Amino acid sequence: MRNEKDDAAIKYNAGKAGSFHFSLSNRYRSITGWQFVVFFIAAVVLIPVGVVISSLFSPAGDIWLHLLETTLPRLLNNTFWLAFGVVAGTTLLGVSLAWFTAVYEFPGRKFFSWALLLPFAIPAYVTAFVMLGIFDFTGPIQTTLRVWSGSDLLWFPDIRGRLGVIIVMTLAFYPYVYLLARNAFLTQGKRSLEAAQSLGLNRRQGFFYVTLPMARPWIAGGIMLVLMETLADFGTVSVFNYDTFTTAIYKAWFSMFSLSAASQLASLLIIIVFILILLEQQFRSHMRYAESKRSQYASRIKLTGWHTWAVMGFIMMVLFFAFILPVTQLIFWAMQSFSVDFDQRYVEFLWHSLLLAGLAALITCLVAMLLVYAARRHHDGVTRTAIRVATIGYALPGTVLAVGIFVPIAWLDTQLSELVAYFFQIDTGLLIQGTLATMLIAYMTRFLAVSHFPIDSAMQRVTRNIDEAAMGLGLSSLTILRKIHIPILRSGIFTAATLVFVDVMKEMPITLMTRPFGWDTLAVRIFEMTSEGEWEQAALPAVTLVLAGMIPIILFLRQTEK
Amino acid sequence: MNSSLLRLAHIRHSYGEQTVIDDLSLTLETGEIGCLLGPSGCGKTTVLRCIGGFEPISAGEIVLNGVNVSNASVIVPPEQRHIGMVFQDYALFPHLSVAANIDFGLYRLSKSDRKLRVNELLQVVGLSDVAKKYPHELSGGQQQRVALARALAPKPDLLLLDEPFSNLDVSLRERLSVEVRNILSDQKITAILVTHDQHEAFALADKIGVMDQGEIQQWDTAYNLYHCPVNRFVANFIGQGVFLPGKVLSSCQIEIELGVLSGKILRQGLQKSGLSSEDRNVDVLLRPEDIVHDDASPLQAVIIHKAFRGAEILYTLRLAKGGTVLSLVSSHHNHPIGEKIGIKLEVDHVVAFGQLK
Repeated sequence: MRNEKDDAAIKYNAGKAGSFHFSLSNRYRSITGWQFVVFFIAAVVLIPVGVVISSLFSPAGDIWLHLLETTLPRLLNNTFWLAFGVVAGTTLLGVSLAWFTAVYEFPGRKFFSWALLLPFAIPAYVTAFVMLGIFDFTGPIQTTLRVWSGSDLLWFPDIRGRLGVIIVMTLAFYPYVYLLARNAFLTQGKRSLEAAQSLGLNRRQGFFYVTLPMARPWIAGGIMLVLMETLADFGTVSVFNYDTFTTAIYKAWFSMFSLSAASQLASLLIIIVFILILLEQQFRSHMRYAESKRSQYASRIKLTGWHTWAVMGFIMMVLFFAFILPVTQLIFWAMQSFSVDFDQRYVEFLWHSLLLAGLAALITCLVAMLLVYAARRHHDGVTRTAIRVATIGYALPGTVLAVGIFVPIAWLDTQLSELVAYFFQIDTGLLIQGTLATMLIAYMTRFLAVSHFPIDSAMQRVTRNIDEAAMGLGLSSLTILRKIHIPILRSGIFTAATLVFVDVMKEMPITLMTRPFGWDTLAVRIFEMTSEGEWEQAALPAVTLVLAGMIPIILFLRQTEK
Repeated sequence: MNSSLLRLAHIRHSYGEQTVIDDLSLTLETGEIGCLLGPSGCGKTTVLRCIGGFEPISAGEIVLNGVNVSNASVIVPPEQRHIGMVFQDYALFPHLSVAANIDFGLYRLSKSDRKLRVNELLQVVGLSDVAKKYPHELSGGQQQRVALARALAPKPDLLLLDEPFSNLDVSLRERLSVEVRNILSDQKITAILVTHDQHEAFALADKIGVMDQGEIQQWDTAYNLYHCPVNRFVANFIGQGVFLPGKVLSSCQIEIELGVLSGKILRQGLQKSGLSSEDRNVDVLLRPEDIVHDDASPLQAVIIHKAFRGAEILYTLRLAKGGTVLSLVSSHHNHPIGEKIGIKLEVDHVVAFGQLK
């Protein structure tokens, strides 16, 4: 229980630190301005979620019946097998690659261990259309084989099928599992392996009985990220014409113009995602218990003989299909189409992408800063919960978010224009709908967590004692902000802005569904060209996105090398 | 020599270009507890890891139980050496309960034997009531005991302990080291311990090797390390003391500022420093208990510093000619800094080293 003296002291401190403060009522505990800001942001994030979920309870029996009869069983079936296949594939690739690069020594290990992150730079939908372009019926591989064999290739697997989507997504998403599993192996694998050996187990037994079980929370964390990406994915499945919830929502929206059917589908998807979020947080709490320092003795096991070649061959094969092949093909196509595609329109796509990404990065970082400062002032459970709610958007599929944001904004627009018409007798039309503001709110909701994390961890370095030491030296709070906080936070803010910037550039469903009419970006261009099978014409925008995607990887590598 | 459990003969270990251990030898008899004591970075942990089979050696040999387990070309993997190891950070398996951690190395036993052994060890280390808990739910001292029990469970021939108490606070450290000593001697375990804390070494070990720069400077009992150090490094590293210049008068007499010391002069120290017959200038090691406070003594010294230690006060004293000595005095004798007090020498054996050039 807080007493009056404490309360007064807190108010005094809060006032000194430049925050505003008001009381709702003298009887109730007052909410400070900082808390109000956090609650407001959390509300902005929660509204789309609430709107989508509430559609479950609105009477729509006929839509459900229709869905059940037509698409729903197929959607569930497709989504389930896709998720299953991608999880199996990424786990297998991610864990094995992590184990090889974390524990063994072989030629090129250092290079491979970071090169294996490169597929992160390619959006999954880009890998998808490149692979289709290469391996499809009309692609160079099948054409050449047909010429050689002089017959139809009946034995050639249909790349457009389920297996094709699974392979492409596995190649695009395995780095999540790789990164987390590798981290687990590096921090505790070696030491625990030694402990197992001192108890009489050999290395292989040690791996299966100790290292692997110990890394479980990390691996599971990586798998959760893969699952969320898979469920949220829109671009890859639409390239493959593989119907999942995200494409169904999009089609309900644009082809059937049925907002309620889209909401119903979105509500189902969001429930699945929320179950995943709960699971993920469970794993994360396990991770905290098992945390340990990087093992002091990093002597690696030297591979010899054919083992070396097998491991290197495996890694190079993954790298080839996940990065080298798609990038080479992209560059090839881009060069072919450069003279045609590099025109006024390309510059316009690029400008739109950059503008959106820049604005989104700016807004998202500012909002993240507000959250971080609020958390610094208030340690109570309510504020912390509100911040967690505010950063939950990373798990929301873009299609769901687009639906959830469109509905309240359409309502707000109607209210606004009626209000204006009532007072000023002017017909304003739609004010917010179909403007950049809608997109920016959606991006902010989706990517707040991306910017919050780096800024928050930078802020952890500014301990309370640092502030107090500065105050003790007689610095004003403005000077503290300028001379201490900003310099320490700078790199965190920079990382956050870069990550959001690149994520927004690659983002597809939100951009497609909420953009102003005719406002095309690079991602939209790729979507339009690939849905017509014009791979070459999608290549130049895709190369641009891959180049942008390299930036966060370089940042990440520079940070971890320090 | 065949009865010794562990023998290290002239081993060398290099990390890249750098030689971490060079020409190191030691022998440990069955049931003995040995200790490698030295400042951080002296290579003591590396020696332990070589014995465990976690690091290779590039010269010499390690013989465990009559079997040559390591030499320049052969290295028997750790799991075949029948050793137990307690790691500095304990390396407990976080996904297993206390009982399952202890049970981990017992896979060769039958189910009922395993249960018996786990319960026995839980009792030995006094953790029966937390058997079902997980490592992160335990205190540091409890984790340490789990690590010990886990290592002891398969009845290893040799137990290796790597700075086992360094993560604990001081009071717990002393209590646990006595406890561990009792457990080890009850279970008749041969063990080798690595530490930088001499009190830990004194409390646990029968034989202690003081290490510096990858070499064992002296392998001896705690008493001998303190009273008969073979070189300046050991003299400085173990206990407190100062060196006073002195002149050798005869084979059993050295003159220093405070008078003439007579008694057994430790020759080995002199030989090591290469004292020639003409060169009679030496440094004499004086421990705090060699200087006794005596009000009646004509010898006077000025107190320049004092450190209160409860039962005693450690005085730093300046002698008439400028030399400094330490004196450990009962804390009933509380004198202010600057006062002159009477002292006298009470030296049982004289330790002297040739003066540094």
